[in-house]
Amino acid sequence: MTKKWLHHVLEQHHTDAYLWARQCCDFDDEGAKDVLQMVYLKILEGKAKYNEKSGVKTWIFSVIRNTAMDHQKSKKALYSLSIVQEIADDYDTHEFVDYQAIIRKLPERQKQVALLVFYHGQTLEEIAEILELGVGTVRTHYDRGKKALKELLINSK
Amino acid sequence: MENDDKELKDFFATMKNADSRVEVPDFRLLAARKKKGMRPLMAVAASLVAVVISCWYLLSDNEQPQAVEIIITEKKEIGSMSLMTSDGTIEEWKSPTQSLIDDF
Repeated sequence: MTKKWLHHVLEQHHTDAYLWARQCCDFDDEGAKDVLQMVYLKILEGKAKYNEKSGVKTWIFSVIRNTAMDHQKSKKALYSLSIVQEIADDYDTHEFVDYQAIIRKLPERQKQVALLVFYHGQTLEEIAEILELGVGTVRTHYDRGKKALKELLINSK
Repeated sequence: MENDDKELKDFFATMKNADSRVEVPDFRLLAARKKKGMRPLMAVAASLVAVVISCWYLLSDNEQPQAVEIIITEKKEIGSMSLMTSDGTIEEWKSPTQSLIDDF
């Protein structure tokens, strides 16, 4: 696995990686940029290694999720403030931000599973790899997430 | 995914459509960005250098002769010291016990 190959693969999945990083950072653009930068450094410096057991995209998503979790912990206080501000901002902007408010209402695991299935087109097996969970657990989050999201959509109408 | 997920699929399709307006940063920019964590380390290193230079400057400053302050105070003479000082010349000097010879 050469650095050139890694660079090529990262570039190929860059947009999806950024959107996933953004979702892991509660739709915070600056947070997503920081996380993705750390992810690229980890990968290109060989700190995160691809074991070829899963797809490349699944592996990148897994690294992003772990990095975002660490980043979130360190910035927890800041995020809670920015979220309050963002939610406040959402009220006076257009309908395209509504999904963020709805998605935020889901429990963390359900939110991640739903996004990975419906938004990123990952299979439950791949999601199990990304979230480091058993497939059965992922399926449970998937079913509960769907149910909860449907209720949220009905209530938002 | 079952057919009853259509509502969810539509929701996420709208979300994806909205996200197409999200400005994705340039890949090369992120891949080339220097580690942010290094910035505080560099700041600490710069501060340490500044402290070392300041200490060195202050220490080298101490080696130079410092100004000496001389305070002159009038001190009351005590004991026989007063007997040993005289404003007159040696010819005018009289023994302090001369009066005993002269008067008795």
